Amino acid sequence: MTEIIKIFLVFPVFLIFLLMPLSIFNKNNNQLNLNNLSLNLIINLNILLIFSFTSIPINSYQVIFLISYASIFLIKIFKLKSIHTDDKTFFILLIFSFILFSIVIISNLDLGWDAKYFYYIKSLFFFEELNLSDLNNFEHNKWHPHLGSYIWAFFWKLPFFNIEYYGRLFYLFIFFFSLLYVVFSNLNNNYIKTIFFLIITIITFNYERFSGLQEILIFSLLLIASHKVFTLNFKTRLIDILTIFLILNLIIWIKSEGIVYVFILISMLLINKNLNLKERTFIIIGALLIFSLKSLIYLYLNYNLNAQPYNLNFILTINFADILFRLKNIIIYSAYYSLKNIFFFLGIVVLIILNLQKNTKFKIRTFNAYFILNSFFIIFAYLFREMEIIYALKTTMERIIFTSSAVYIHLLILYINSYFKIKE
Amino acid sequence: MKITKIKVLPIIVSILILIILYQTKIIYNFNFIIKNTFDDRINKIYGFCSNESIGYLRYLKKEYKFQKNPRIINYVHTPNVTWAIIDPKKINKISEKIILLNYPGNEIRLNHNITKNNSYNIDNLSFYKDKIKKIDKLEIVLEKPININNIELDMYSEIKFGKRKLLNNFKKINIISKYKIEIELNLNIDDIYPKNNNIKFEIKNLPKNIIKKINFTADNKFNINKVNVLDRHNNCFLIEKND
Repeated sequence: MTEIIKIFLVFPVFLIFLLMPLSIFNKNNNQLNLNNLSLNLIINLNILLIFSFTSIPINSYQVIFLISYASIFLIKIFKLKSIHTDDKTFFILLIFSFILFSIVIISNLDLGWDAKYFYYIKSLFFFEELNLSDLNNFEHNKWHPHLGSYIWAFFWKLPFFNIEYYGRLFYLFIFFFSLLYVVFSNLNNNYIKTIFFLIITIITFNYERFSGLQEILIFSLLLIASHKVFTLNFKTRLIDILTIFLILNLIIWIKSEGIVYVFILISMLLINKNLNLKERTFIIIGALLIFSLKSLIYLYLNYNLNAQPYNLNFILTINFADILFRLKNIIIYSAYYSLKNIFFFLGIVVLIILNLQKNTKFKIRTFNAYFILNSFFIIFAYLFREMEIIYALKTTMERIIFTSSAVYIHLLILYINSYFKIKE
Repeated sequence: MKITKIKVLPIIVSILILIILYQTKIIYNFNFIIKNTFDDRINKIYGFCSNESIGYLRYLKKEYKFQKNPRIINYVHTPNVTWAIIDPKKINKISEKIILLNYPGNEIRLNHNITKNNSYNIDNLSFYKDKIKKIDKLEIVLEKPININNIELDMYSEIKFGKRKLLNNFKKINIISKYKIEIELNLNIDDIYPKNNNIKFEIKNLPKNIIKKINFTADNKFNINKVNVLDRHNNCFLIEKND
């Protein structure tokens, strides 16, 4: 029973990551500011990223960090007169889904294959107060960056909790927040919002995604980033671009393939017609900066910069017959897994419909760019991978399709919203 | 129209909530957590001394407080189990102590699959690398007694560029009984692996459908009678080499 009670207790701790440092209610109408809520999460995760570069152990700053945030928030909340119904629905859905699915996670406990090999052990390093340079001693460190494991350790290390799954429950929290953020930002009616949130949850939830694998973090961040890229506001676009960069900075520190998603999102940003040359230059410099920063830190720590199974010598040995064999299998497996992932499949169908419509008001250029670049990524990632192709496709394709489906979920929500608007 | 819409939406929400409650098996999971402690659940999910045997590893970690990380050899093919016991502060310190999980005895039977009549593959040789020194013999149990004079066994490499290469031919046959024969292999594992992670065997000059059962057998690298056993639970051991 204690474990169930602790799920209720850990929820407010996770919530602090959304509530601070920026004010979450609009000053004029006391309504929830979803953008600030998401920005808070992004800022706080970036703060954790910065701490992860230092040799400061988690337990020496964690409690001070959380208590100071909570105190400031409590002072602020007392000034609040009332909470809007929409906002209540948002928080009710967040707590309901979090508690319910947390029970599934703590009942199951089984860690994923990659989690057992890489992420759990890396997390254990941070839990045991070791730092990034100590990770060099771990033979599998080179395969993926560390941020997901650091976040896992941060919440695992919570005083009085101290069980590894509290770290993974934070992944669940981010997942539900990102879904609610996109649904509540794009749909109007409270019931419609709830219905779509529940439908996406039913279809997407699968215990394995929360078994310590990192795809769920990339998926959630992509979902938030997709909304930010699509709704780039003329007045606040500098803040929006900065927010996107903060998200990209997280993505490249979670998984190696994060670098590809960063490239795709940057391309989606650059094709936005409303941006001027100065802003485009700012975006390119920003992208170079986050790539360079990662490379510099890797060089400083003596990490392997290119540990992935790709190298030029191998690529040069691939003959025409091999390319055909690989392409045939990539098409077969990607078609199979796309059909299995309803959002990925429907997203592409909707994109085709929108492209065929002559007078669509949709900004489909952004989604077209995503479709093209993401498809190229999937094809080339397997075409040039120095690994037995069928094995690689069987073990990783489903996860890549799932991660990529985040942007298509956003597209589907936008499409449904436009459909209801027309009906009204 | 509006009244219908207002009534229908809450019903849809309720149905979806019911689907979620069903999907999450909430009552079962709730009960499972209430009735089982964290350690009990770990034992039920991973096994105490079966499959990944995480329960036994956690017990050893608590009981022995290792100064160095012990080596773990699991005779059942599962994902990595080191995570359950590893101490990152001592990551480069490898102990003389060895944990044997699901120990099968002094003789190991290698997993194989039948590809077609009288052809057999042994996959994933990397799994056996730390458990055996050599593959000793192939035991064949026959459906009925036959003349075995011309029987031969060919061994092929893993598939490279779409083909397997003939690596060896074995002719030395021992008759154990009317229904059982043995082909001596004496294949040193280091000579095959890592060049080949899987190999194929083809029995020649033997009629189809005559084989009842086959076993590739090897001597276990660890003989439990010749080592110092520090802890034991069923087929799981904590040992220390005598030398």
